[in-house]
Amino acid sequence: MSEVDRIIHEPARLLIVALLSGAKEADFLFLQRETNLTKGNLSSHLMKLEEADYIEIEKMFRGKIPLTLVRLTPAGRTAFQTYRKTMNGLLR
Amino acid sequence: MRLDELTQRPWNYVTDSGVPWLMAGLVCLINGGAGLITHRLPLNYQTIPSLVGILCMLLVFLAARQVNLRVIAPRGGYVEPDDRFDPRNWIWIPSALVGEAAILLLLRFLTKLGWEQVIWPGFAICLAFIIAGVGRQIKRPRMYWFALYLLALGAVLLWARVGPEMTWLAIGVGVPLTVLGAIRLRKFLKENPAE
Repeated sequence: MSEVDRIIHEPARLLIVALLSGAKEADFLFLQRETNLTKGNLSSHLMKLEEADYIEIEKMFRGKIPLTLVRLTPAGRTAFQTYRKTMNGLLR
Repeated sequence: MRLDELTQRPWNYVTDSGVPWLMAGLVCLINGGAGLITHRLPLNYQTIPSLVGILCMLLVFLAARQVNLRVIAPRGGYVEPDDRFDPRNWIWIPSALVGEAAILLLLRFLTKLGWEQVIWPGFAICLAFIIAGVGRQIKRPRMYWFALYLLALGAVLLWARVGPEMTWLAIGVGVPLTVLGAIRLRKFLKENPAE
């Protein structure tokens, strides 16, 4: 059990990483609606994933509307694949 | 928590809005409409519907992009699905080509019709099998209904002895796609009101 990545193993963060693994990029609103997390909760999980270098966050404006884009980094993608393999191995 | 479903969610979100269906349906209808008009024009003017059709298709693409940016994204969020090339996702193409060839040969053998009369009915039948296969793969049983519709469309086209143009196939595919897309878009807008 010690080999399980604790950053991804947390359910909310696993949800975020799994959603991002099927996307090139997604905005904050999409992640919030799909995960049903509050803004504050989602922000804190995104910060933890960013600190681990699993995601990158880009803040920009589309017209006058602020837009927060989130992408999985190659390290994050690899970590998610490793996590899935590990969990499949443990549950087999 | 089903990880496979979550990783598929960005693709499903894009199709849930109905915009891709609406766009595909309109493109088919424009193509079919241009085909219908072309045959009613004198020979000198027969290129005009194709050119107007291409322009209309371009407008449909631009309109779909604007709808996604200005209507869909502010309500449900923006996501760009991952479309990186994975050879495993394209393995069905050679199988589909072999299937299409087999269906055409079978139709010719059974009906004794010419190639030009079996090509589009055969294409509709082949498309029906592809749609059914995709529906099974992504666990969307509703796609079986569209596959059944395409089978029926193939039979009708065969019975009607359509020519070498794909006009009627494009219209036959375009109508349900446009209706489905419009219904989905309406549902999406109702479920995700503007804030």
